[in-house]
Amino acid sequence: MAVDEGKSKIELDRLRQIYYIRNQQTRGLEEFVALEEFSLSIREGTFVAIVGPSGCGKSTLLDIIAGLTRSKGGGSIQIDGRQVTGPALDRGFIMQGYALFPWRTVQRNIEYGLEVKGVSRKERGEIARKFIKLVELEGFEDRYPNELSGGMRQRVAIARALAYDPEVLLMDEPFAAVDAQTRETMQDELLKIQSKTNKTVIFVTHSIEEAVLLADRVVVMTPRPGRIKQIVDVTLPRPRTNADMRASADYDVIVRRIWELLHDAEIPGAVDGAATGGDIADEIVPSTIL
Amino acid sequence: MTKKEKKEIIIDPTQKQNPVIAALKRIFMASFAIVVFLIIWEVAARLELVSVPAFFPPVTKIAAALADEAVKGYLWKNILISLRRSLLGFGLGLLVAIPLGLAIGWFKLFGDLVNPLLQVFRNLPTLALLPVFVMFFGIGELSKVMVILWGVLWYTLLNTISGVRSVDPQLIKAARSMGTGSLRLFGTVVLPAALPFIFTGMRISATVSILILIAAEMMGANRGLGYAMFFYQGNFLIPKMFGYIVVMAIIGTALSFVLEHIEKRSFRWRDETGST
Repeated sequence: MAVDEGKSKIELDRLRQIYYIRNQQTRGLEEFVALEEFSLSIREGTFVAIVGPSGCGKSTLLDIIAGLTRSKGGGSIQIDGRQVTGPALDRGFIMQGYALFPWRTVQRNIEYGLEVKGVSRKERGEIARKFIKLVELEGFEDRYPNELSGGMRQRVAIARALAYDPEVLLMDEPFAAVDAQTRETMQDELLKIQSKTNKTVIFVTHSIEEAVLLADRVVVMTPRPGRIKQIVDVTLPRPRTNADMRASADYDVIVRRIWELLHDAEIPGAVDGAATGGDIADEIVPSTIL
Repeated sequence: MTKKEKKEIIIDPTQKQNPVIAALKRIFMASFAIVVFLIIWEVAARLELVSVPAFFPPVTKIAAALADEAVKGYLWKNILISLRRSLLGFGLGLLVAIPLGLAIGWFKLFGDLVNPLLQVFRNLPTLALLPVFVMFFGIGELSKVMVILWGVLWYTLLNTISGVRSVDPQLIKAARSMGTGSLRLFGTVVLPAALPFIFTGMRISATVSILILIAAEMMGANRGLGYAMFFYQGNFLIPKMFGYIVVMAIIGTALSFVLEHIEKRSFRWRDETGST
């Protein structure tokens, strides 16, 4: 497992999340462990992607870091050495469903966090315009979300989270709801935005390709309970774009390695960690697994 | 990319049409059935196709009777007094319904405690309560306003409750992730999200306030549209009776038309499919 050097931004220490589910037969409560022994140290400015099968607790993890859910099984979160006790403006949360306020225009949506922060009206307007420009939505300031396409809504959501200048961005499958073409554009734009703003990002996704394209480190999780299976460092040079990655052999190797890590967790009898990047290609027959 | 997406913006389709032709078309569509109905009525009454022609005056006679009431000034006085009652009952009803609805919707425990009583009250027919209102508030203006208040209350109240309860949890999550406190959450998320529901309730309440007026004016009134209708019926001035019925229909229709229009204008941000 890779050990971080330099200044640590986020320290996740043995996070554990349990839910209680009522058993239909016995009527008793059963413990369901969503997240187990999750420890991770993230350096400032690092882009971390989290991939794993459905139900591995990826979204739960983000909710806990955002302060929206308490980790009932213990563990702690520190950002810059400060304990996280609830939601605050040092973290920006971007959800899959955009969650824009439909009664607010683009501009007023982006200003929301600034209002919470107590920024004056004049300054709010200036900051919002700056971020509208960053996500290339000039001319749409006075539009309502229902007048925008999915990709544009997601850009508003990103601008809204960036506007109050959080130190950490938490992104929960933000591009899952847009079409494939828009997704690629959004990914390229996110890469550009991240290189401009140098935010620390935790990005949850189902897509291995997306994780490798965007991240410096990819955290691969196991299904129920969600634990860290392995952390894969993505050493591909930046700046990256979708076009670059399509032509990169290293990219393919890393994608394949993560794919293999994810899938031997699901195939009974697979030898854990037996294969390495080079020789697994022959063994992968997607149709037998999917 | 941006250019491609700009095309996806929805443009109001009514902008393209010639406004005069569009307006004429709309007027024709809206009045067609009514005009046909009035013609059939006129012809049927003139040909005395009904058993008691005196109870079935032609439209032109009704219009003449109404004009007579207007010239003498009775019509306006009756409209004024009735509208005052309706508006007063409606306004006071909103003052009770909206805050109560917000509280019931927002505070779950309070809502659960109060709900059974609300269900019982809501299902009491307003007309059944007329004698009770007369006992409590006499036969003056107060009891009339109270009857309207009671009848109007439920639509706004229930819509407000469901408006507050149906706020998208994702929006609450988004606001909370930005550190929004309870008070701000209520003001900036719950209230705006519930507003279209509240407005729909208000619109129905406003229409109901006119409908219930008639019942209210059955209790010892000596002026008002409902009173005038009953008075002329009792005195066999049937054209005038019909005249007042028509006036009440016009007021009710106009009111709901105006309110629907305001509703559409105020909530431009709502999806077409999302509006009720």
